[in-house]
Amino acid sequence: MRNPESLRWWIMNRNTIRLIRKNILLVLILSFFALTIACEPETICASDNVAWARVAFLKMGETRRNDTLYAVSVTAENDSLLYYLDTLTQVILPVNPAATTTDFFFIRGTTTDTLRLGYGIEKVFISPECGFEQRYISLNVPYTSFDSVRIRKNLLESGTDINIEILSCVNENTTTITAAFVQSDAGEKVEDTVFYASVYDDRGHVIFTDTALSAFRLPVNPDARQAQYFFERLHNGNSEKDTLTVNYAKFLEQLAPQCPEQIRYDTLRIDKTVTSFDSTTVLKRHLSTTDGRNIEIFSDL
Amino acid sequence: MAAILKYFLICKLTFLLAWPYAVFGQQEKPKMNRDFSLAALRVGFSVTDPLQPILYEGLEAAYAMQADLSIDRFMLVADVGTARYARAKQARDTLASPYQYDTRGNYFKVGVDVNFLKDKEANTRFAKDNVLFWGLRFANSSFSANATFDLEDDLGVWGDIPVNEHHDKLSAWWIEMVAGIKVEVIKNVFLGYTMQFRFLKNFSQETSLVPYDVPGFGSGNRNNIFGFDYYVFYRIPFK
Repeated sequence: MRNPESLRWWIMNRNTIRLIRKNILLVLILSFFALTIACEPETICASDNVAWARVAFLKMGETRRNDTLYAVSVTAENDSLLYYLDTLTQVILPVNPAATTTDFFFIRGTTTDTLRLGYGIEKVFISPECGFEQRYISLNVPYTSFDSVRIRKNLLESGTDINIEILSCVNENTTTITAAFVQSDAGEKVEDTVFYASVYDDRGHVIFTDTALSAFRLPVNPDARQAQYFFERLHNGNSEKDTLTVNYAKFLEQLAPQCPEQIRYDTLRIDKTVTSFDSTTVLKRHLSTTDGRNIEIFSDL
Repeated sequence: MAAILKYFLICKLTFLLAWPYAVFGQQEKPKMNRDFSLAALRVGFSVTDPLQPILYEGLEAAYAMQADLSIDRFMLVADVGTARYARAKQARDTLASPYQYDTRGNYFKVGVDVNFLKDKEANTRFAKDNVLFWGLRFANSSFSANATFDLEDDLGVWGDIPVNEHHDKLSAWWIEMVAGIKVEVIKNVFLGYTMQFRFLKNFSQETSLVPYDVPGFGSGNRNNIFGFDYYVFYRIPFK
């Protein structure tokens, strides 16, 4: 007769083995899925990592304004010519893959500015099919001779994102008022041309002589807050004179701490009580070199 | 698709662990017999690790051993293993330039497993016998890597540059959640498998060469991985 103890052991283990067998199919299925998930996903060799930085030029100021460099050449530290006498708003600067800094030189006439880029390098194995690539991270600017730089994105990736902005202290202020004679033609405003024998200011400075004026510039008096201009012409043998009187304010302006102070003329107004032109309009109150004229005079001649 | 499969696995694993309770839990539950003295030592080696080079490109060799100390229904577990990877492309093709990339290292895992299989006759869940377990591991891998390749200059400014990187004393750690069985097939000889979910991977240092192969973990590009091992054990009972 069998030993009941060994019989009990056999029954227990047989049940265990049955438990295992019942689940073995489930386990095999689970294992298959586990292996499937454990397999590496497909990789493609296309990568966002690039070995160049995109740099944009901006003007210093409270608002972001694009700047343009004219006739500028750009070289890398190994004398590779990247740009030659180009007009640039943005540049692509390829960094040295064998170093952690690269110098670039911007040559405009007799002036050369330097931009040194610093970065970290990671070697990344993409996949057995694609091999290695380098990733450039932690972009910084250890040195520059430009007025100011700003890091916008410290990872070098493909696309149009700007990595670095170079900000310059651009003085757009001027001491002249831009003006023009206009007239209405079929409801549209067109430039007019008026001949004057002489145009001079209240200091006696002759600005124009025997000139046909359409768009022109009038210098302000830097020592005063008002300037008066006299437009003399001959009509039927008689001398006739028109007067334009303008008021303005003079400010000292500093775009940024690293920029020099500059004089700004603003709040331009026409004093119509001492202006003989029938219709005048102030279009822009700030005297600057940017687009747009300050004053339009409707000619009624 | 991967998320769906992962969810399916987690649900099935939970079912697998709960099933014995569903079967055996319906009966009356007298107080379980407990014994917190050292019961047995099980030592085993992985059968699947040496076969993995057949399945995984780049893996040259892998070996692993495990030991567990049974105390009541718990097992104190320690794994050690080693792996060696070698990847190479000899000639340039449309996708990549030639390279050589070797990694080798060792790893260990320590943790605790809990047995859920009940000996109905003896009213115990001693882990020294057949087990259906779930557990957690802390794992650490120490390895070295060597990479040689040419960096091609697409913009034609700096020229192609040869790169040779060698890094010793790289390390990574992660957490593993495991589940499996160990079944005595003949006296003191066990067969068993373990399913692992490796997660919370961290590299212990930042280097210029980002590890692609991590011994014991798998692909360094991934943050979590499922794994599977099949073991043969020998039990040394203490009583």
